[in-house]
Amino acid sequence: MKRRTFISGVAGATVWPYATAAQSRVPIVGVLVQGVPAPAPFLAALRDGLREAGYVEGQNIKLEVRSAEGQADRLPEKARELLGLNVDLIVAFQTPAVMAAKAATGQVPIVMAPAGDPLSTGLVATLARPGGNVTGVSGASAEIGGKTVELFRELLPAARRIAVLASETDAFTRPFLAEISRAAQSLGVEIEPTLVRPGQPPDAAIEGMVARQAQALIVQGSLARKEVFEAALKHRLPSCSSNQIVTTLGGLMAYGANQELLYRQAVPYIDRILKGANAAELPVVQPIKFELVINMKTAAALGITVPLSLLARADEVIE
Amino acid sequence: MNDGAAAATVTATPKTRGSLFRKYVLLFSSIVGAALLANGAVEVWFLYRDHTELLLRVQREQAEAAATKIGQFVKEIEGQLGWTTQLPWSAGALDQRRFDALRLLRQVPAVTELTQIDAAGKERLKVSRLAMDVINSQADLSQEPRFTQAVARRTFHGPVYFRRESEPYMTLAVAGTRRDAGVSAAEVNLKFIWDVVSQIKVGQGGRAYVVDAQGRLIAHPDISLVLRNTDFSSLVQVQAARAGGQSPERALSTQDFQGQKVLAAYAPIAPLGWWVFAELPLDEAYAPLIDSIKRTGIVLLLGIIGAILAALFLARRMVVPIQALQAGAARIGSGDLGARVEVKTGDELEALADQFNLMSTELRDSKEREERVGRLRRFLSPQLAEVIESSGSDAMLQSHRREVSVVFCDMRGFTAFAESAEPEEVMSVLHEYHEALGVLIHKFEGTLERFVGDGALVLFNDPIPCPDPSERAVRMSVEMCAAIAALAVKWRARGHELGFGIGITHGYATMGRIGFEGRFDYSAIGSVVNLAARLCGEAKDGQILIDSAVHAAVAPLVECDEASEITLKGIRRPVRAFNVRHLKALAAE
Repeated sequence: MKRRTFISGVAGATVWPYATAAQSRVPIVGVLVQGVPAPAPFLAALRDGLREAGYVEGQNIKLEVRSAEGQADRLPEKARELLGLNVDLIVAFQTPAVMAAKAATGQVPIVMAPAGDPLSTGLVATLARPGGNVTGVSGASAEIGGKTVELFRELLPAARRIAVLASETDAFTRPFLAEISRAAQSLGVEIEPTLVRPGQPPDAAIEGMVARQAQALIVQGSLARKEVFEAALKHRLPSCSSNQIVTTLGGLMAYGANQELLYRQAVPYIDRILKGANAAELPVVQPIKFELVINMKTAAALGITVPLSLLARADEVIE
Repeated sequence: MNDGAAAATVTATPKTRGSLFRKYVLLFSSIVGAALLANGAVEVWFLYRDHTELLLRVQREQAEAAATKIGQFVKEIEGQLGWTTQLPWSAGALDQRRFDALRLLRQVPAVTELTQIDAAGKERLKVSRLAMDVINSQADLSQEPRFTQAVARRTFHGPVYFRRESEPYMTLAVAGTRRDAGVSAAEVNLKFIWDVVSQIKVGQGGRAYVVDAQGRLIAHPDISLVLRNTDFSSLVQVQAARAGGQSPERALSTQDFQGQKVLAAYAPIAPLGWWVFAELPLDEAYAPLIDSIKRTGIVLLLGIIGAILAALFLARRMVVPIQALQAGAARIGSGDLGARVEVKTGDELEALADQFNLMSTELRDSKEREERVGRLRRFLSPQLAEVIESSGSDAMLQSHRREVSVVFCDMRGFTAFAESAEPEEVMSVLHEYHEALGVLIHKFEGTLERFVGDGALVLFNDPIPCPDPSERAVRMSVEMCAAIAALAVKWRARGHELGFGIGITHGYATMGRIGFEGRFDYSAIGSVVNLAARLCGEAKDGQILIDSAVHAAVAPLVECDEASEITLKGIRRPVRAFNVRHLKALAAE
């Protein structure tokens, strides 16, 4: 025991100067968000998770949040700004932010929190071994788009034309639309995609969809903001997206991975990277919990009767 | 004892003492210490054995509990699947079946995809969380193991595979009880087992994990390892499980995948061929043991210190009296008789010391007696000295008045001889002279009051009374004259002209011890003594002058010359004195 105490003493003496050097510098975590959808729930979940993992902001961690305020073309600038702060790593919320961060640096580790289908967008080499400086949480794969079409068909068997609001600036748009088209083809429905920029007022696009007699609307995750769903509701267009929160913003239905869980899953990555883990060797985690949420009030307002088969499957029904 | 011997004893003393003290302390403390050490060692060994056994049992139980839970997890999915294969396939039932299948997905989160196959092996329904549902595709699945095996054995547990090279999955298929009920096959996301293993707490730093039959990691608290499709088959514990996993031990001390030393226990998940491992870092596992060993060590140390202290105390208790005895003996050796030793131990040593004190007291008494006898011998014959000594009292030597016969004799011409002759010659003559007189004084049991140079004063009737003091005095004097006359012939041959004269008186004198402690003499004081000396002074060579009191006592025995009136110095009236010619009886003898 004496020997051990001695050794630990020696080890302590050796490590001590470095340890204090490391402690004296509070690690900085840069957080990059596009601004659309609203980052508040994500940031709240992130801060909660960090606190639970023993990180206290201002004491042993510093968060630097940078938002492009919905303007996708400002993301690279914000990413550079974070790098200028000498951040230890960047947590990027959704694919456009991850893309911008990855474009800005090949060195600083980037944690996806989450990003849709990082394999098909090329963010990582494989899920098991990402290989670069990007790792983290994978959101829904593009398949979810096809599944959404199927759910709409079940909800509205009469629907023949489904509009899709997709992002002009999101790398996920391409596989997302491809899956939707494939599903639509097999189900015999028409797809009306409309590409917009994230911060753009949605009214014109929604009005266009209604004019083209779209009977339902699928909103891409990175465009899911209040204005979109309110406009859809105003034009009596049933809407659906992957994020559960849309059902409280005027959306009718949401199907996708539990977002709260995805946000929190970013915390272990932050923790391990700050403790020296190599991002290239940290496998990407995929969602395991998929949820179907239906807002019955919205359904009632739209005059839609939700079939029993859907209600039976719903994880949450908002009355 | 001389000084050299005393010095030797003194130097030898500490050596002897040290040796006994050291021996005693060493023996006592090593016996007690050895007993304590043996006890400690046995205790630690049992502690180690019991602790290890307990740890392994606890871990084995944890592994078994986890295995049971995972088995239940699979069983539960099987049960849910069984519930979808109760009905026979018949037209029109598809919608209902899809509804049931969707509800099953809702109920069992681990099932990502559910395929229903009819009795002919055709795919009739596939529902998925991610992919689009497929209804009545009629795809031929009759050759696939999930169909054939399920039909043959009711349930089929497919091998573990990794979706998108990352997520562990397993195909689970259940056949209906009726032949025409077909098979339900589910793709089970094994990441859900993570919930089970991450909830198992193996100490502070321990963990539980699951590997499949090939040794690949299926579930681990660090999900990254699973998602990376890690192969654990090279680990010793995994090999042990896969090789002889049925042994009852199911636990070993080895290293984990990071090379950390761990205590690993394992349990099989029977129907799947998987293994659950519970690992605890050795450091942590043995921390309480090391603590208790440390405690035992401290107790042991205290015990040994106590034993040494006790040994010191006991040795001291034993050695100190022995030392005291030794010192006492040394004091007696150096002449301090009657030295006492104080030992109050209440045991044999005290008895020994008491005996010693008794011995020394007796030694002292004996020495004192010896000294007293020695003193008496100086003026008494040895026989008388013994008598007085054995009477045990000095009463005879106390000052007293008694009628005595006093003999005073000295040599004629001695002063001239002593002045002219060499001192050695004088000493030699005196020696022969004293020797001759001494023998006769002893013979007639006279009391030699003193020798003064060539003069000698002898008393009779004191301190031991005798019936015929004057007679003895005269007889002794006659023999003395003869003896000294013989010696005088010898002396004359050596050129020394020496004669001998004697005066004898009878009367009262005061006798007693005079002098001081350490130098006592027995002395007679009185005119009768002076008279004897004066008569002796008047006597010519070979003459024995006696006074009328003596003459009256010995008249029948001796032939005397006519009495003569002599005027003596210091005596007022003239004294009648007789010269003894010879003994009458001497001729008769």
